[in-house]
Order: sequence, then C-alpha cells, then structure tokens
Amino acid sequence: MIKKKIVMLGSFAVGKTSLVQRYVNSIFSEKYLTTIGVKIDQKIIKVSNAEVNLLLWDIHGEDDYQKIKPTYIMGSSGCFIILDGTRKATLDVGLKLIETVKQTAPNSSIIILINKSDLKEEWDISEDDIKNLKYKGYEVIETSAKANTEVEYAFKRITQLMLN
Amino acid sequence: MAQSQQNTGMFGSMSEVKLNELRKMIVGLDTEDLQRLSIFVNDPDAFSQEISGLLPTSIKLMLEKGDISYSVLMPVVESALKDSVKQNPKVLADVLFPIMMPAIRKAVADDLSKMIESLNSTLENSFSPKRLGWRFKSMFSSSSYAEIVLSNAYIFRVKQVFLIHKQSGLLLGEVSDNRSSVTKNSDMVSSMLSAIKDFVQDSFDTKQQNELDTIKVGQFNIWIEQGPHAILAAIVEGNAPAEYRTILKETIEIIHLKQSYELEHFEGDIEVFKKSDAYLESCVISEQKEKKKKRPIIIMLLFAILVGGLVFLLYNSFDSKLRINKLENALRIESGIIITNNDNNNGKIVFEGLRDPLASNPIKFLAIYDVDTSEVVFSFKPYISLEDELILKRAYFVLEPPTSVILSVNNHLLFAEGEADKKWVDMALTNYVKIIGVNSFDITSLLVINNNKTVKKHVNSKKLSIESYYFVFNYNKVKLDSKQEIKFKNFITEVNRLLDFDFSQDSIPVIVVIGHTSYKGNAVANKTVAFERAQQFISLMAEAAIPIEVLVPKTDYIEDTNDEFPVRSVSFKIVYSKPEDL
Repeated sequence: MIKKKIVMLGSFAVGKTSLVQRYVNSIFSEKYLTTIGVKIDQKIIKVSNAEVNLLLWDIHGEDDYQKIKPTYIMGSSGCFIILDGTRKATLDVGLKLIETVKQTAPNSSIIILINKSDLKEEWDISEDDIKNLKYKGYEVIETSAKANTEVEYAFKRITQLMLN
Repeated sequence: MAQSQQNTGMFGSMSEVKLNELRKMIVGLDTEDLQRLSIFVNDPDAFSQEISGLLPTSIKLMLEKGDISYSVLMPVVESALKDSVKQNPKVLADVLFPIMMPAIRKAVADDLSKMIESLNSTLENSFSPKRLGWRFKSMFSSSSYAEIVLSNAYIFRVKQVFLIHKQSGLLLGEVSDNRSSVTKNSDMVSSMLSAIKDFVQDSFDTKQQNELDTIKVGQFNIWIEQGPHAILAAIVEGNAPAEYRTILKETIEIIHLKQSYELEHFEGDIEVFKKSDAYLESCVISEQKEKKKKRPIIIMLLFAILVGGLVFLLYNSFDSKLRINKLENALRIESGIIITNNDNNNGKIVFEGLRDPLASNPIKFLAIYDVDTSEVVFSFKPYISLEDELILKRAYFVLEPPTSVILSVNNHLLFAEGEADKKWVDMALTNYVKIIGVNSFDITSLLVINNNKTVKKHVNSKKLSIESYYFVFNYNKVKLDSKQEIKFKNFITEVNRLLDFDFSQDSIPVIVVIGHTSYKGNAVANKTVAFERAQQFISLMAEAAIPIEVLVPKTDYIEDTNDEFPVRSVSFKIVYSKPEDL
C-alpha cells in the first residue's frame, strides 16, 4: 500500500476541519489542534485501482499568535491550501503558505481549495483572483463542506497528482 | 661599431612593437602575459596563490576520474594531521572542539541516563521480600547480587514497535507482541507521535543533539530512538532495562545501513520496508514474570496464624467469660456466700462479698468450672449466715453427734433422730443454744438408750455367729489343717468384730473356749487332755492378736451322741460379764 502525507493549511476559520470531518477516519480530538497545533486524520482512497492511505495533517490555522511549524509540513507529498471565499485576506495568507510549502516540501503537490462555495454570492475572492491563481499554475477547486461539494473530488485529484 | 649600435638601436626602437606582435603571433602571448608568467616562475608565493584556486577542483576531478584514490591521499592527510598535532595540538583541538564536545556530551549523557535508569530500577526493587531473597541467593551462589538483580529486576514487555519515516511521520513498518492487543490506527498514531516529537523538540529545545527519547503514558513508556531518516518507537509496558536502549540504537542503525537508499528516497511505498521487520522483531522482547506463580505461603501462613490467634483470643475471652459467669452463678446460689460486687482489675475479676466461715470454700469451685486463680480473686468478709443449711452445719460442728444420729434444721428448729446415748443427749440439750440460728431443739424422734444395754445388744448380735464355730482335732494334737485354717481365719474375723466396741464400761464380753471330751476310759485324764486342748487353741487365738484377757479355757463332757459338739472338739461361748466373775 502507498502511504502519503497531506497537509491542510490555511488561515484560521477557513473550514479546514469541517471540510474533512465527515470524510475521514479520526481518532484524535480537536483539542490537539489548539495544543500542539496539529491533528492527524486518515483517509483511504482508491485511485486507478490502487488504494492509497492518506494521512491528513490538519494544521492549526495560521494567525498573528500562532505560526505554523515548518516541521509539520516537511515530508508531505500533497498540500491543500484552503481559502475562505468570503474573506479575501485568506488568499494572502494562502499565498504565503504556498511559499512556505515550496521551501519546506518542494516536491509537494499543491491544490488550492476555496471553501464555502455554497455562499458564493457573498464571496470576496473574485473570479479574477481565481483566474490569476490558475494563471500562476495552481489548481483551484471550489468546495463546500456544508453542501458536500467537490470535497471527494479534491481528495481524488490530489492523490492523482501525488502519484504522478 | 657605431653603425652596429645605431642599427641595433634603430632595430630596437622599431622592432619592439613588431617583435611583440611577432611573438604574439608565434606563441600567443604578449609582453604582459610573459611578464605575468615570469612572476610565477620567479616568485613561488605568487605562483602558489595563483594555483590555489585551481587545485581543489583539480583534485576533485582527478578523484572522479580515478587518476588518484583516497588511499593515496590518506597517508598524506594522516601525516599532516600527525605533524599538526606534534607541532601544536591546540590547533586541531580548536578545530575539533565544536564537533567533539557535543558528541562527548551526548555520549556521557547517554551513559549517565542509562546508569540512573538502571540504578532507579534497582533501588525500586531492592527492599521487597523477593529482592531480599536475591540477596540470600547471592550469598549462597557463585553469582554476585548485581548479576542476580540484573537477571531478575526488570519485568517488562515490549508490546509494539513502530518504524516511522522521520520527515513525513508515515508508518513504514510495525511489529507487535502476539500476546498484546495492538494499537489500532497505527498510521495515525505514528503520525501523531511524529508530530508530538516535532512539537516537543521545536518547543522546548533548539539543540539538534537533544532529542525526545521517552514519552510516558500511564503504565506505558514510549521509547523513541531517532536516526537520520527514520524513528523507532517502542511501546513498553513496565520497566525495561537501560540496555534496551542499546537494542533500539543498534536496530535503527542497521535499518539505516541496510535501507539507506529507500529511506532517503521514500515516496510512500512501504512494501520495501518489509525486509526490516526482522530487525523490528528483535526489539519486541519481554521478561516474563515467574512462570509458576508461587503461592504466598509465608503470607498465607502468617495470615492463618493471625486468624488462628484472633480466634483463639476471642474463644479464650469468650470461654473465660462463660466459665467465670458459671462460677459466679454457682457462688450466688451457694449458701453462706453473698456476692456484692465483681470488678475487673488488671484482667482479673475480683469477687467481693460476704462468706460464712462454715460455707463452702469458693476455691473449690474454681476447679469445678475450670477457672484459674490468675483469672479471679475472692475478697470476702466473714458473716454468720442464718440459712438452714449453714445452721445445720453449725449444729454438726457444735454438737458432734454420733453417726447414729441425724440432725436437720427447719425454720430455726433443730431436729435429731436416730439413736444416741443419754450422755450425748444431755450434752446436746445443753449446748444447742450456742448454735447461732437455732431457736429450739427437738429430740422427740431420738431414741435415748442406756450404755450397758447397748453393749449387750452388740455382744448378742455376734454371739450366735461365734458360738456356731467348733474345731475337731485328732488325739493329743491341736493343729489346724488347710480347711480349718480358712475356718479359723473367719472365726478370728468374727471375734475381732465382737471386740471392736467401746468397752470402757465395767463389763466386757468374754470368750469361753470349751474343750470337749467323754467319760470313756479314764474320764479324769480325758478332762485334762480336753483342758490342754482348750489352752492350746487359746494360744492359737492369741497368736492371731486376740487379747488373751478375754479368753477363758474350760472343759465339758459329752453325755451322749446327740450332743451338739463331737468328742475332741473345741467350741466357744460368749459371756458378757466382768472377768473376775468368771
């Protein structure tokens, strides 16, 4: 079996935890996020007839008071950068995090997830911003944890990228 | 000469430029280049400086091409190092200091940690009965105590061992003790373990050489041994010896040695690490507790003794109380004893009260109720009891009645019944008033008898029996045969009964021994022989301790064949009379 480490990064309250909560096998409580800054979940996914064991490192949202520890990112094969469509500031944080990932885990496949697609009318991140991201070569998927939109696909996609 | 000089000078002035051009065309170097080369040739320092930039690259290329090898360079480097140390060791020491000190410190710290861990474990286990047993064992065996402790002190079990990729925290392999319930979700656990390790190291220590090596979780210890690319994490139950750390170190080292490439280039495929499972299995060790759990005989024995002791004490206490209660009840119903108080004094029951001097001695009750004098004390004051039983005792004590008299008391009235001589009756009638508790003395049922009559009655009761005896002898011979001896003994017994009487009065019973004869032949001579026979029989009786004073010989003629006694016999007659009257 192939095992891959995926880190989930993003600003605080972008919905990282909610995004994966119902799709993963979890044994650790949320308190680890606020104590040691990370919580590990697991998801086994089948891609191209191959079972891949994904270890998801749900890393505490970066803010002014708590910085993400680079050691948590090291060794990851994939990375979800999660943005909140209703808060443009999360895009800036996300871009900074991408830089951190590139330095710490240069071979990591990155997908940007813009969450809360169910509230698209209220989005602060514009289509231009999204085009701009795509133009820079990033793969962008619009998701909604609440409406269960594109989450499963996001996992499949990042797995494909990692295997390739 | 002058022309030549002129030509030369002209050639010189004209040809310098051309010559330079010509030289450049031929050798490709102009004057400046030649001057530079000239400096390198003439000035070694400058030359050395020039090639210093090229030499490292050149050596590297030569090594890659195989023109030279490390083995060729090694002696040079070694010699250089030797010379350097010889000349000034401080230089090399300064160079090595930043590397050596952390290494030495880590090694010393490791050893100290191992030693402390071992010492702790040993101390923890030093004072139990089991360990004391080891001390005795070491005294009587060739093994030292330390050896025995090491072989026994650590009882532990490695439940599971994880091989974790250091960078990603992904689980590369795991083995577990078959007897243990394995950790579920090992992948998540190992990732979390890796995260915790990173968190601890990042948060509390920035020094690379100080790595997290143990996590304690309840009864489990997670021993962590880190290599450059992978981590070993062992879940240990109990106290593993410090030597286990060495096993982990050696295992992580050999895995790195064998699978260095796979670890460095790990991309998620864990199948390749199956071959390291054998190394991981070597880390799953345990020291079992004693296979056959011995029954704690000593403790059971002590417990049994304790319980037995308690039961014995309780039983004793209960039994003692029961016996003393019975004793008290018996004393309370005993006439002449009044118990007013009983108190426990230093474990002894003190009975206080009153006791008539004629009442039963309370000490005799102790034996009856199996009570020891160590258990009770009597403290009675004397008093006179007016109970009938005590009055009766007092009457017997004062009047001393003969056995033929029976006394009884009823409501302070003393009765006498039976037979008694007048003398005693007179004495009793005089003295009964001295008996405390007796108001009157009733002798209506008492037969008062005369003394003489009494003696006669006694004699008469024996008379018939004795007078029925007779002994027949041969001619001139008074000798008892075997049958007669038995008869004689019975006869003597009867005589003794007769004489067992108070003969203090003036009359006594006398036994007349009669020798019988006949008128046939010489009657006078016959009488003499008969008298002698009677005397000889008296002698036999005297030998049988019959007082000779009460024996009187006599003769009698047999008148006819119908006479009661035969010829040559001796018979007896009892006469109650004064001896002098005979």
